Amino acid sequence: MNLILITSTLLLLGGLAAPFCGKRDSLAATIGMTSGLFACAIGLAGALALLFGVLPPATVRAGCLSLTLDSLSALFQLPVFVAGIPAILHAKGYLAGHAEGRTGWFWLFFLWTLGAMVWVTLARTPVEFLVAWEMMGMMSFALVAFEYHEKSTLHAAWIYLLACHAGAAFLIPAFIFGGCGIWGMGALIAGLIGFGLKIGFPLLHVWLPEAHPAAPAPVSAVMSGAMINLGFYGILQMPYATDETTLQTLGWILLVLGLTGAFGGILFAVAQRNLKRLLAYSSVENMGILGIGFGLGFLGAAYGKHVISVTAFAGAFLHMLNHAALKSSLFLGAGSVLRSTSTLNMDRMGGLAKRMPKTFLSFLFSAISLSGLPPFNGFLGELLIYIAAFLALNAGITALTGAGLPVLLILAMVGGLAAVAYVKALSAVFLGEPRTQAAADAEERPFSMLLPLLIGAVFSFILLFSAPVLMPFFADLAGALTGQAVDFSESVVPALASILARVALFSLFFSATAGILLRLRQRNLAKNAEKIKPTWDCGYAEPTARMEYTGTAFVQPVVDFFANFLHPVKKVRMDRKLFPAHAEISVETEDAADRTVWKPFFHFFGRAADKIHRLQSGYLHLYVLVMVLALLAMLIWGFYFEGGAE
Amino acid sequence: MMDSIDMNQLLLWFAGFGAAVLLSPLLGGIINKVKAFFAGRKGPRVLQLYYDIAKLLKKGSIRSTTSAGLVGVFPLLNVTALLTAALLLPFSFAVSPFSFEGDLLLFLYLLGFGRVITTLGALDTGSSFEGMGASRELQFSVLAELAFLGIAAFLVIETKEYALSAMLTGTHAGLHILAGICAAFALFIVLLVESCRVPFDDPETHLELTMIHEAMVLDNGGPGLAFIHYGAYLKLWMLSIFLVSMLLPGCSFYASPWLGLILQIGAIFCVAVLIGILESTTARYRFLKVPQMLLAAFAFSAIALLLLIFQGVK
Repeated sequence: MNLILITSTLLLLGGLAAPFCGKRDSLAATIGMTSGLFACAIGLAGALALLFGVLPPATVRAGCLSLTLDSLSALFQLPVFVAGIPAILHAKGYLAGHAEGRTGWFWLFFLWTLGAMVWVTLARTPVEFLVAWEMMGMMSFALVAFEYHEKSTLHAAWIYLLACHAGAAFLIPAFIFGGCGIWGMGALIAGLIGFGLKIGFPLLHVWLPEAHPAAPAPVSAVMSGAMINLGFYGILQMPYATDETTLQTLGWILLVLGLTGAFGGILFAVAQRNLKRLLAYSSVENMGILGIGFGLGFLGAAYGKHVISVTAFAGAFLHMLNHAALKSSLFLGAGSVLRSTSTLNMDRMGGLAKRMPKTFLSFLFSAISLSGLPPFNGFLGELLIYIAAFLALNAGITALTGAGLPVLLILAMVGGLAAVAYVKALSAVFLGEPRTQAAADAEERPFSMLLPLLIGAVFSFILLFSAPVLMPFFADLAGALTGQAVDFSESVVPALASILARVALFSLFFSATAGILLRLRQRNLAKNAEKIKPTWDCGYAEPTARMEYTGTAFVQPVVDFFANFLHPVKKVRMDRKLFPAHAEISVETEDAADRTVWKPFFHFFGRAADKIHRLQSGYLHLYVLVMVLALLAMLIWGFYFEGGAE
Repeated sequence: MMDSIDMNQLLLWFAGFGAAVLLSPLLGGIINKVKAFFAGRKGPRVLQLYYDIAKLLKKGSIRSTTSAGLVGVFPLLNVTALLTAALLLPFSFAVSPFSFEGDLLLFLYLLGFGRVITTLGALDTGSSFEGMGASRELQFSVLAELAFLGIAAFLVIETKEYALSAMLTGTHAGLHILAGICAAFALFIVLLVESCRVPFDDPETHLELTMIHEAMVLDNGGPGLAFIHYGAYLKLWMLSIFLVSMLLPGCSFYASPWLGLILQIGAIFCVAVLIGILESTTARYRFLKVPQMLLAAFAFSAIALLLLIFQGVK
């Protein structure tokens, strides 16, 4: 517990000190980086020590604050540090030359965002939690708006601010009424909406694809890897009853939201041209997968199937950690690409694999792993959720069979679509020939921006091999969260641990076999050297980069197949003559929730507000009339109701 | 589960694994022989693919100037993924010694890894043909995976087992014939798509615009190409084992356990003959029809599932 206090203090003070450096950017960066790194390292040690039982859960009273560190908060702190450490390291290089005179402010907001996230996991009273939650939102809002010179950034920051405030508008009543024990299910729903806005549940996700591309890469990494998870932390922390009906309701809501979020998120990820937008939609997908896991977990508990419940919860927790490590690496990689090519439009990149080989390797690994493919860590969480769904099929309860079947089918499609999205990103950004001069001139980033990618990969490998060890905590948490008083340490935990250990063994076998084959290839190449010739191009004399597949072209069959969901808008411009010299096509895919719900919604309210605006006519007697009418209405209301009560 | 495997079964399983590794190129020879028979030709030797692979392995390799190096590596990684996945299959109808609960997904996703790495290798060359092939391959894989998971759900409900080789060698005591036939038919369609056979893809043609898999490997030569050929038939062998084991009973059913091995290999050769006949008698579909056929495969697996679920409800 003292460790976490040191972490908080370091983040607080480091953040405070940084802006005082004024124009001395490198000093500010050094202060921010050092205090941030130390804080995260100490915090990581503290959280791990608590999880592994070295330190007991503890409560500290500091003034009016009461901070409690237990295993659930430690678990949700892990993503903060796992995503935070690489992001802090990356930020210095990312900002260099792009934030003159403002670096100190960046570090203030950045460290305080991290601090607020830690605080959110520690706060136990509703007021304190809401203050921490709001601080997290405001500090990250400042970061999203950090590059405010661009109009699109301001727009994105505005949407993010709206989402934060709308979230608070639902959370405050949820906490007040939920805390008093009134409302019951109403408070639960309000909480789900408020936290769902942070998570990015379908319909509530619209801020993610706006804010992530606008924010600096280290900020996107932390927001996507750690902050949106905290929405789930909030949901799990809500004082819901653990009776059958509540668990069922929670389970079904989370499951349906998760299924739609996962499928819709990855479908829109496929259609994106902006690299960071693609990653943001992929976050919507991954949060959907978490929702599926938690939903199945609650349903399993509601129907008394403890094995399903624990397996699904363990899968969701594991996927959360994997997502934190992998997605932060991907966002940082995208940031490196942005700094090298000055664009995020994937169709204007290409060929970066040869120019930035180390960044490419990191991105390749993280992207394949996050598509949920073995032999890497991204597969593990999905595997457990799949197993939970298979178990649900055979549970012998119609409701669980009905829950398990869509999970299997949607996860299968999501897996396939994730492969499409990430192969598209990899090929459009890194493979082939550069499509613009900027891409052709791109250079590898300095070591300071490569190290965080390496650290992200190290975290991923640690997760791959340490997953079996984590099972006891996950089982305990699953039991505590759903009120199941069953001892899992004898039955479920060893079974899950052995499954994960087997997968790790298969990964080792894969690596060994691949190593042997690659070694043989090396030996073969040493004997007869590889000839290097241009790509075969069906006999064209002058092949250009314009002949190769762009990202948009690559996904065109999939986008067309799902056109009913995606509504892509194609704009073709072509000379209407023989041998057209100029031809252009662009495909835009607008967000479905934005298009079908939010735009009409805000349009309607805008018009309604215009109508009400007529009241503001400038005539004093009209205002007095309105006031008198209001008073009269209140009087009648008061007499009517109070009189009735007596 | 490990204790229940006796020495004999273990030996059998390894014999089956060895047979898969060594004999899978034979499938290509058989298919080509059948096709030659239908065309009234003599056709290449059954062992032709072995000669091709041996020749290619001796050659030097070539790499595109565009490539970042993936193109030479991916055939090796693909074969590695296939070999790793093969460890989970019930060779000789015996339960795999490496199997664990939920390994069905490891099997499926390792095949998926092979596919992703293949498409990346194709895109590495920057060729528009290979981009086209990769794009199609991944588009179809989305639906193929959907159908495959439907079949998996069918198997899980039917056998109440969660390990691949256990569910494929289950005694099938309560085999629901109609549902089983639907699932097997769905699997056969998936098998044809996954191993790039007619009517979905034509491994013979060299007309780039109409190909999927062949278009992706245009820029490979030498040992890389040898691994690609080998990988293609190893995958066909593995998927045939899946199909055959689903239809035939497990090893405890046979008088002599070695009969299981022989029967399995014979059945795989029958699948190859069936593919040969199909390729000789049907034409390749238009591309627009491929997703429809894949959805049909999914529909069949869904019918199998529903039959099973409603039978269970009664």
